[in-house]
Amino acid sequence: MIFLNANNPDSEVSLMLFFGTIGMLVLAIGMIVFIIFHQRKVIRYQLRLQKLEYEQQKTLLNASIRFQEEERQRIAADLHDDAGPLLATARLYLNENLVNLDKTAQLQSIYNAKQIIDDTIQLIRNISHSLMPPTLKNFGLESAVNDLFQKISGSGSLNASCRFHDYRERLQPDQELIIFRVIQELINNILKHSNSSFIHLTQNLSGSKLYIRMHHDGRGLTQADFEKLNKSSGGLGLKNIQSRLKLLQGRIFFEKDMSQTYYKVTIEVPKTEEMTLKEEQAVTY
Amino acid sequence: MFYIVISFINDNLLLIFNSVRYDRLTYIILSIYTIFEYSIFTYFLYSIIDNKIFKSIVAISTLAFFLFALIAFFFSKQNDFDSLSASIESILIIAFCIFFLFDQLNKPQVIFIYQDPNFWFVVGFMVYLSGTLFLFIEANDLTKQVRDNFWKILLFANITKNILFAVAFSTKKSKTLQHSFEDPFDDNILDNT
Repeated sequence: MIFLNANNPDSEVSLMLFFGTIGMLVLAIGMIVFIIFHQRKVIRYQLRLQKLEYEQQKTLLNASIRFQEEERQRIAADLHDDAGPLLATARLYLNENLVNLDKTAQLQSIYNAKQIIDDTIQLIRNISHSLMPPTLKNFGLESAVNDLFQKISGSGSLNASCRFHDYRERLQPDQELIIFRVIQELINNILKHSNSSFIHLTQNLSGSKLYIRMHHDGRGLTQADFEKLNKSSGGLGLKNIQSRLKLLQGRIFFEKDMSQTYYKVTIEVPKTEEMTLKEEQAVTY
Repeated sequence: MFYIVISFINDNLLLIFNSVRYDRLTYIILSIYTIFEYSIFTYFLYSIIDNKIFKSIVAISTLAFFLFALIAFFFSKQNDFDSLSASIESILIIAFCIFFLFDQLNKPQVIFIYQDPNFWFVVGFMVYLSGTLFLFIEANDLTKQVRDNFWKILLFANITKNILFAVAFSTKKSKTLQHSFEDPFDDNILDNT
C-alpha cells in the first residue's frame, strides 16, 4: 500500500504494476504448488501399485514353493508307499532260505520276485514320466498334448481333442515344459471341478506370440473369478499357473463364450530366444 | 554459480552508475545483462529438457530474441532501461519454465520433484521473473522517483531467487525412492562379512 499512497500522479500505472506483480506471483506460486502436490499424488499412487504388485509376487512365490513341496511329498509318498513295499517283498522271495528249497519252489520264488521287480520298474517309470514326460522331451509339445488328450479320451469319461494349427518350429524345451505343465494343471481343474463332457484345445501363432485356447462345456471360471481366487489364500493350482506363465512373460485369460455355453481359457506366450528365457530364469531364481 | 557472480557484479555496477546518474552506461550494462541472463537461463532449461520440439522452439526463440535485443539496443530512444527486451526475456523464460514443470508431470518419475535441484533453479527463475515482469513492462512509463520506489520489488525478487538457488545447490538429487514395504529376508548374514 505504501506504493499506492506514495505515487499519486502515476497512480494508474502504479496500481497496474502493483496488482500485476501480485497476480503474476500468485499465478507462479500457485502453479508450482499445484505441480508439487499433483506429482506427490501420482508418485504415491505408483508406490501403492508397486506394493500391490510386490505382494502379488510374494503370494505367487509362496504358492510356487508350496506346490513344489507338495509335489516332492507326493513323489516321496509314491516311492515310500509303493516302491518300498514292492522291493521289500521281492527281497523276501530272494532270501537265504531259497537255496534250501526244492527246485519248483525256487523257480516259483524267482518268478514272483521277477514279477515284483518288473512292477517296481514300471512304477518308477511312471513316476519319472510324471516328472518329465518322455514324449514331450523327444517329440515336443504337440505330441505330448496329443498323448495326454488320447489318454483322457481313452478313459471314456469325456471327449478330449486337440488341434495344433501352426507348430512347425518347436519352442525351447524349458518353454514347452512350462506350457505343458500349465495345460496339465488346467485339465486337472476341468476334470476335478467342471463336470464337462468335452475339452477341445487349439493352438495358433500370431506374430511373435503363441496362443493356446481350451474350450469346455462344464462349470468354469471367468477372469474376475480367476483374479479373486488368485488373491485369496486358496487356489494353489491357479497361482502356480500364474507364476509359471510369469516366467515366460505370458498371460492367461478366462472367459465365457459368446454363446454362454462354453468356457474358454486362452494362454498367450511370446516366442522368445533361448538367451532371453535363460536370463529370465536367472532373475527369478 | 557463474550467473550468480555476474548478477552480483551487475547489481553493484548499477548501484554505482545509478548514484552518479550515468544513464547511457546503465542502459548498456542492463542490455548486455539481459542478453546474458536470457542466455544462461535458456541454456540451463535447454540442457535439462529432453523434448525435441521444445529444443527447436527454444533455438528459434533464442535467435529471434537476440535479433530483437540487438535491434532494440541500437535503435531504442530510451537511454535508461531496456524495458522491452527484459519483458520479452521474462515472458519467454516463464513460458519455458512452465513447459519444464508440465514436462515433469508427464515423466514417469520415481523421485519427488522437490528432490531435484533443477526444480529449485526453475522455481527461482519463475518467481524472479514473475515478480519483475510488470516492473520491466512499466519501467519506462514510470518517473525516476516512482521507479526507485518500485525497485524494491526487483530487490525482493532477486533475494528470493538467490535463496531458491541456494536451496537448489544444497539439494542432492536422490536417484530413487526408498521402498516403503518390508524386506522379506531377515537373515542378512552377508552384511557381516
